[in-house]
Amino acid sequence: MLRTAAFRLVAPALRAPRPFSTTSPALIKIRHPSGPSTSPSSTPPASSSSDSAPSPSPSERPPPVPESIGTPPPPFEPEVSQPFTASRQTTSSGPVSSASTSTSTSASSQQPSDGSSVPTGSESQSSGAGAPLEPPSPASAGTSAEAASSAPFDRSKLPSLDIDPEAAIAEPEPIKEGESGEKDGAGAGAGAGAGAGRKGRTGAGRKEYVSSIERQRRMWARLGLGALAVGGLGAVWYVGQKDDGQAEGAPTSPWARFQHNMSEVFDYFNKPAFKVLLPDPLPPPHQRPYTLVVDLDGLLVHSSWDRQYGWRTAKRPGVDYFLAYLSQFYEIVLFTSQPLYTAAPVAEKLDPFGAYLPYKLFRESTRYHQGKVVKDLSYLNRDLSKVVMLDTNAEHSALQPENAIIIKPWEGQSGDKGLVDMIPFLESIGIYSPADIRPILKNYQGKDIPIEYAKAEAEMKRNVQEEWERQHPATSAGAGWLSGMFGSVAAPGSQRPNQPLTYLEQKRALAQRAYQEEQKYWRDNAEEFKKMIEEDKQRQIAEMKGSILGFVTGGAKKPEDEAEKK
Amino acid sequence: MSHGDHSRDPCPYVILNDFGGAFAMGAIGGGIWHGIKGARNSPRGERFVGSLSAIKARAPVLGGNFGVWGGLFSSFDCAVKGYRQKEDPWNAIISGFLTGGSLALRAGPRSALGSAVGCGILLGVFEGVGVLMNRMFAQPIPPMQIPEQAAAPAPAVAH
Amino acid sequence: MSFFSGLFSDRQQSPAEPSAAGELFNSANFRSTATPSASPAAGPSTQSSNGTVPDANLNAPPTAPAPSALDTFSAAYDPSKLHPLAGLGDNLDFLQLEEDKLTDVHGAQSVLPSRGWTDDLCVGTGTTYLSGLAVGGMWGFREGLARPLGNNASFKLRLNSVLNGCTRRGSFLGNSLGVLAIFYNIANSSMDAFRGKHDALNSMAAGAISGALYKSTAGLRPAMVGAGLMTAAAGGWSYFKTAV
Repeated sequence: MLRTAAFRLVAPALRAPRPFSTTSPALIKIRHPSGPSTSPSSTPPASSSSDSAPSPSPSERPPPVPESIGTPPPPFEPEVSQPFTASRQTTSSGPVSSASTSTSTSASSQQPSDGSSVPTGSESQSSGAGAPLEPPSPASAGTSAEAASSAPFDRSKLPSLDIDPEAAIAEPEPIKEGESGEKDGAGAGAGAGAGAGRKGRTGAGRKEYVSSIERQRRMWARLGLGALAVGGLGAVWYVGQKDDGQAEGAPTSPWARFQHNMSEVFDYFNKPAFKVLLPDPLPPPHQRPYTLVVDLDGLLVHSSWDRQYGWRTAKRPGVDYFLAYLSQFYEIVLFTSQPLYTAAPVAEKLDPFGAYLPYKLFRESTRYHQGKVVKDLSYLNRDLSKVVMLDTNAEHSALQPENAIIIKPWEGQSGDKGLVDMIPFLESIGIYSPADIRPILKNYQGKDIPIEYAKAEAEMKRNVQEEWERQHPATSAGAGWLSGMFGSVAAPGSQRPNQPLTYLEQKRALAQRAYQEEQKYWRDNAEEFKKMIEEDKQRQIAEMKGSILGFVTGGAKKPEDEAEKK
Repeated sequence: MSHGDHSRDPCPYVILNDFGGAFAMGAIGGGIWHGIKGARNSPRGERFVGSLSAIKARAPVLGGNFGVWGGLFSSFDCAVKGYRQKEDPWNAIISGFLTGGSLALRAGPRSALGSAVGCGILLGVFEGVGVLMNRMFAQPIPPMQIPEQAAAPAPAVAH
Repeated sequence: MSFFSGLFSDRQQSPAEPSAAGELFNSANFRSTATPSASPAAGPSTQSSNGTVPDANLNAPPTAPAPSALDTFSAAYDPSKLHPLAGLGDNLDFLQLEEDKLTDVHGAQSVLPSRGWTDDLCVGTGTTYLSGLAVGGMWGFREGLARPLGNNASFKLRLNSVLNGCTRRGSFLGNSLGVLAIFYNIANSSMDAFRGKHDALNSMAAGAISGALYKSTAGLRPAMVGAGLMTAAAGGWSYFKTAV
């Protein structure tokens, strides 16, 4: 404000063509009231017309100090805006004077001329183009009342300080609203638009004054946005042009190409973090023929929170046996949709020696497919005909449903047997070594596997018994082979001697014995292993601290550490 | 839904935690900040008093602002999670959007929208950086070397 | 039959296996007339022809079912019986995870489980701040309702006055209480760590310290008054904790 005022003082001549109000006498034009050309609606009680009233607008600097004080100051003719008239030609030449004196005087006569603070609307019809600051109406009223008298220096002609804060200095934009003659705009206020009249002192809703710098800034902003839009379209077109020449289903239209190429960018987040999730299988002695992919939460453990204990993680009954027993037949891979930092501690506690869960995959290895988290087995680097996935959520296996067994999630209740119930089915796959497990799983789709499998096995066992009975007719106990069959059930302990075990049962027995031996081995050497693992950890921590890269890479484990743990 | 992350209590109780945490952060951080600022803006000899009075005047306000922001964010997060029944980054972005909007609601719809979009974008950036960090630091499983002697008897019943 | 060959020779791969497997795995549609009384295998036998005797750990076949011809009588089948070594029981085992460990300072259990001093700080501050907001909000609400607004006060004006009152009084009270809670919790946790246990004396001393600190700039007497008030509040809180 100060700056603009100073500027105005310094170089008024520069703004001659612009309709600013200036204090330079050269630019002040003496206006005559344009007569009753005001719009009928306007009722300028005290028009800011001051034809000859030498009252400067309040925010203007006082007139330049005259050479001698004795001489009266030159008549000061501020540029005052007139009530908005239909004819705008006058505006081009600068601020036009106010309305007819007749109206003004008549209006002003109604008002106290002592510059009271009665807000007299009027005036400020900031007549659009560059209306200067209006003198406040009381003053103008006063001045206009004394227009005739035009004393050289009349205190009453001094502008009152009761101004409209929204008064604009110069408004190059044409006003849209009419009725500048609206009364009771607060004080002077030459702002654009007559909205001021309606809203009272607050000036709300008035079009704001925009300085030139602000206008420049806005122009640049608009240019920038425009350039951005054009650039964006150009980028879309360009990306659409890029054609990698894929054979399969190459999208033809530019929009489809664009989508295809853009999706490659997002694939970084959607696809798993690695191309290959598991290392290559080990050579036969160490590698199990089948792979079992298990989930963590809801299958093996369950987290719960209560007010007394806080967070607790419960192990499903039989989970240790499950993992230990089945690791004879399967390479068990833990594939969970939880991130590493939450699931790794749990996995470590489940499998302290790292023997049963040789591989652990976390959320970084999952994939986003159509907005859902999906465990894509094709990244596993394993033969899919030998991979069984055990999960509680059908969404997770959406890409390979033929490899998945979905069972009900465990909600943490005790006495649950769901996990151990699955063991017979899984171990029979391991024992019978089918070439492809997918048709088998397909047969059991939608069925309750433990029960169905138990029935199948029962059938088989019955067949074996029948066969055996046929070949070895019962000599004891008198009853026929039927009773023999029933008898075996009625009195569990009284199996007929020499009853055959099926192949399955034999293998099962072998496996259970092997399990016991393995457990014994772990028990005996537990101390040693614990020490080894501890040393491992210490070494890793030392490495991480030592190397600068350790921070960046997060302490990648070296392969020999993995092997040593085995 | 998986309750993997055990560092936060489940939903209704975590709001208290977040309110308090955010308030404490704001108050203590504000205390330090305004303490230094107050000390610098005071005449020599009055630095301590100046700093103290600045802290007393401003730090609780800053704490309150942070606290309200954090608590509102957490409540919206819980609400969105309960509604969507999923755990993914979009929860945080939507909650940020709602928080920004509700905090600026009294200033008018346009201002509220602007604030909401800003907050949402900020949280989107956070989540994106988080996902990026996860991916960058993920290590593929190194290939196992065959141990010289089998660590376990490896009873390979399967064939 | 193939089973006999499997029975009498213990071999690695037998051509009979596919058929056995086939029988097992293809007969998912179990429509036989076998009664549920057929045992799903694993009958113990003290001796078998080829001497591969399983040890006595294998249990008997499952419990005797009803003699009806219902095939889907699922109670009859208990696959888990085949694996007695699984150790199924009725109690749940819990994993001892480090991050879930609750604070082990004796006597420091609070209304909500806490894992350390950060939890105490956050939850305590949050609770007091929220209650300060609530109480102050109500106070400001009443103030806003009672504020004189002129002759024709519209709903918007009244709403504005109420909102202003709420935010003013609410934030004031909430902030003050929150700061007090921060002081209290920090003092409390430090004393717990220092003394190794927690009791009401800790609480009250922490209350005294925080009250005094809060009012310290107003002079000695206000500080004492503040300390006294906070001590009483801390004592009340300790009592309340034991009651809940």
